[in-house]
Amino acid sequence: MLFLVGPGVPGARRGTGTSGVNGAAGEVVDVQESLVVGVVASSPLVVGALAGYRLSVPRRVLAALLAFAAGSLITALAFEFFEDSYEQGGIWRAAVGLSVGAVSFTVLSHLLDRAARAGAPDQPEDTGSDKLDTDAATTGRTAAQASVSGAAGLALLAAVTLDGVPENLALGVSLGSGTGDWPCSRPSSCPTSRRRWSVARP
Amino acid sequence: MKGQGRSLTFVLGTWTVCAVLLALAVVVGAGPLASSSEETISLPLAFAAGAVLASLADTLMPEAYEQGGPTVALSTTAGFLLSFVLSTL
Repeated sequence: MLFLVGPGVPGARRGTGTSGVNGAAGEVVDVQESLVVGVVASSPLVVGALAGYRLSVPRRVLAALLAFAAGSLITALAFEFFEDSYEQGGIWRAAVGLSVGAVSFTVLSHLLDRAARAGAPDQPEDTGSDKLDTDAATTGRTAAQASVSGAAGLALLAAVTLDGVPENLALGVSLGSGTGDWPCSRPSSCPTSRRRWSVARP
Repeated sequence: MKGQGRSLTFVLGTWTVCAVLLALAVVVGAGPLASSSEETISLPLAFAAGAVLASLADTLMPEAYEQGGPTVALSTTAGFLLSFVLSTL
């Protein structure tokens, strides 16, 4: 598994200097420009997947990378997502959004677990969505058939999608808003690039 | 995924689909949703926060601890710190 943590996503940079932002307020950025931004912001996912597939990372290092990503995600969710949401929409919208997001992930993760249990006895290798045995991933031995306890590639994939789609919607809105400002009110946090995490081969 | 016997095609395929979805989300946000109000955008932002929080508690942190033991707490702290410092630049 390879984590690309940090602000290294130029396309996702927000702030007044964002390229592709039209000057006049309310003017809509054309589809091509927003597509370019979207592709640049999302491509690290694929690069990370490829690198993670090719490289073999020691288990301890893998754990440290995971934990590091967890720490940076805490900053992102607390000081960017939730705080911005609260400042823009008030506590009720923020609370409802947070709860729905958490429930969505929990349900999806549970469904993945169940699919893993159901699929394991019959077709150990190639059923749809069993969670992974990460020990196997790091040590090279064969994966346990019903490795449902650990976390998993598909669970992380679900997390990246659930987190990324709404986040990128907001990014797109900020492109089209005419100012290029990410919708946030704290100037100190505005010019930060989005924290993006990419996970491959858990 | 590799350790599970997934092919490179499968692994790259799923992550590529994910990346394409995310790229399309930017386009949708810049186009159809561009004129929506701040209140509307606050919902998907909070949704993302909820999904991240749940994935941390459900997957990421237990997994890191299982693999690395107690010292992963230090990595988490370092991640928080660096990320916060970068956000204040």
